[in-house]
Amino acid sequence: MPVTRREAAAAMAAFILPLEAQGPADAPQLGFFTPNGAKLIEIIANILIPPDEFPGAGDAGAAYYIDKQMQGHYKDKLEMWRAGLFTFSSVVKHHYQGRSFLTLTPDEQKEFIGSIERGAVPALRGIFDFIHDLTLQSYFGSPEHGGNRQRTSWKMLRIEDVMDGGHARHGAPAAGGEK
Amino acid sequence: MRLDPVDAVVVGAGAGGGVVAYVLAKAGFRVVLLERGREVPFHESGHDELRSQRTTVLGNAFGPDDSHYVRQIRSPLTGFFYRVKPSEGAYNNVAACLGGGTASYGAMAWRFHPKDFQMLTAYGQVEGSTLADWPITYNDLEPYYERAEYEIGVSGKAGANPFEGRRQKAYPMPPLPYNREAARMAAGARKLGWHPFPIPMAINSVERDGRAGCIACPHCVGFGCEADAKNGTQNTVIPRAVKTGNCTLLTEAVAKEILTDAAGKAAGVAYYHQGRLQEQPARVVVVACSATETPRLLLNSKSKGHPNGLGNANDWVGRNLQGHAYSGAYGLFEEEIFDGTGPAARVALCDFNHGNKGITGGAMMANEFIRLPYLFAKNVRPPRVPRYGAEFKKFVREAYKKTAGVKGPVQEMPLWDNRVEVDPKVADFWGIPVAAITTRRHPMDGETGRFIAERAAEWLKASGARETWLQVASLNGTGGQHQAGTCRMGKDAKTSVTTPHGRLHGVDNVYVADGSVMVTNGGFNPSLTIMALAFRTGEKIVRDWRRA
Repeated sequence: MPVTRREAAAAMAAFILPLEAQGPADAPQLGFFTPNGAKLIEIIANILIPPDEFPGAGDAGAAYYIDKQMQGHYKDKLEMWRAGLFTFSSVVKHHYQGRSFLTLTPDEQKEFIGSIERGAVPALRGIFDFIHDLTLQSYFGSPEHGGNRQRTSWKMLRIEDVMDGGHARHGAPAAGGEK
Repeated sequence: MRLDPVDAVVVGAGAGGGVVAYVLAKAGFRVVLLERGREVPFHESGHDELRSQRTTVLGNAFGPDDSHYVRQIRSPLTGFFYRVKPSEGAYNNVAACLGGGTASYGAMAWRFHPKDFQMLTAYGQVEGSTLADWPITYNDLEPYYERAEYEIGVSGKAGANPFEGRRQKAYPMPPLPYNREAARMAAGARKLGWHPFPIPMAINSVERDGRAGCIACPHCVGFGCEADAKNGTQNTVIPRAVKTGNCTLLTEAVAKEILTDAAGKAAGVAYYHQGRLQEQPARVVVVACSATETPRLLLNSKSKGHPNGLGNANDWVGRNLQGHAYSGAYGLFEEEIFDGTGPAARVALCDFNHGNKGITGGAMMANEFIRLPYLFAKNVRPPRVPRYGAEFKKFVREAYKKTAGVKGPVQEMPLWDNRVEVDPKVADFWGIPVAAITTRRHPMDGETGRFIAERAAEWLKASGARETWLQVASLNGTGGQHQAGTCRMGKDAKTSVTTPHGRLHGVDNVYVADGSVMVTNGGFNPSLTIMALAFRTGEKIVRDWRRA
């Protein structure tokens, strides 16, 4: 029986490879977003937490995190999500002469998000706060939920050992200071 | 199904119920201990921030779970009730699992200050509040604090807190060492002439009772302990109770109501277990479900003799719900003060629990527990930093290990209208009417909060912070994990729910053994006080109900 790439990657990971080496062979699947929906979230997430030496939130899997949670823990927020994104698209079209968010220039996209943050589009406050919160969850939470790919934020904060827990440094000398 | 009678049913295996079950079982009582949640082992909860008890955005690892529970919370904005799930902040969640809150708590093990028991005498009445003295004093409770410290296991440095009440015995274990942040903060406090000391913790600083000493992982509050070095009722008194052979522990057993007989006395407890409604007859019933769920159970236990619910002849059940108006400050330091070792909260001081000019009460102040990455990114930044974009990301990256927080559980003024009711129109998974909660805070809580936040900033600056910013509690609502006050103890049945020993006024075989009985909530984390009260109530039950 042929071994799938996923099985092969998982098998290899179980032996020696660290998480980051699983790479695209283990790429997650979208179950909720259309490709354009995922693209929209990736762009917004990369505006909220932009790439520098470390990947942005969109690159680190924000769309996959949200995709997974909207089918799971947040499924009772689906209506709010759909209505929010519909309003988002409508407002963008109204402001930019019928163009969609995906066709705006990066500067225009940033400017539009900035106008929501400044309070200029009260109708989008709720959905924007929700996307903002979900993006932070995806970027700083555990990679098992679909975001924070290759533990990028934990590497950035230099806390991989802390997140692994006490067993990772069991036997290390206790902290100094007053006894 | 009607089961064979026992001596006592204890509802709730948390800080209070676990202790009472142990005291009764040890004295030879046949006990059934009901817990609505499950045992949550470490490997199941792990260190996953997003579904920890600290950050519940993907659910509460220690319960209650969203699929079985719901509450009605009155919105401070609209004045109307709306439905809230356990993983949402407004729910006022206390963990629902073996050990209750003590399985995932931060494990600070505080004795209240002697004045915390005598707030009315110390300060006089505060307008709009139902502030009152406890019917017992610190000295009445002191032997039980000691018993809790030894039975649960607390590490600390006796005499290090000059504001503590009289103590007869040292802690059973030495204090945990300061981490880098705590050492810096202790030096800063001394510069100000304040009195810092290591926080007393229900965490083994050395191996004890066959369990390990702390391995300095910083994931304490919100998580189980991977080394099982953190002490709650789930790994101390409850297994000891079961080991006597007198205590039957049932998890996933959900109490529906307390049954009463024709004379109005409690006859037992009806509960759901494995899909069936069971009736457990008992001579004594102990309610220890938290300051929200205890009044809910009493109010849901209506009968001919108790038309308004058990113990509620004078409409006091569910009133005076209190929490803590946590306030404090964050400070940004030049160098990294975070060394990743735990328990992260290590240094405290009690200079501002009382004696603050123009303020009723105050708070213990301590450096903050681990700053979990998501919570840090969401909540911790000075007003100059935006909440997204390159500047935001740069701040989080650079400030994470250079930031310290100090805060305190600000004592709140009890209010008559802060209450837990039941909503007969909204039911949980089992069809039991849910709690409906209405709260706001007294303006004094905001003043005390601001005062404590300013002291926190002062402390951080003296410790080397180059920038500080305040976080003051809002007045919009209260309760939360430190919930208390809803079955106030007192000598007068007209102005309280239980006797000074926790027995319901007017029903002589029902006792309350959780934060509900606390008249005021102190300026401290309440778990050790709940445990001490439960030891005292347990002993009283043994004295009153021992078979001749």
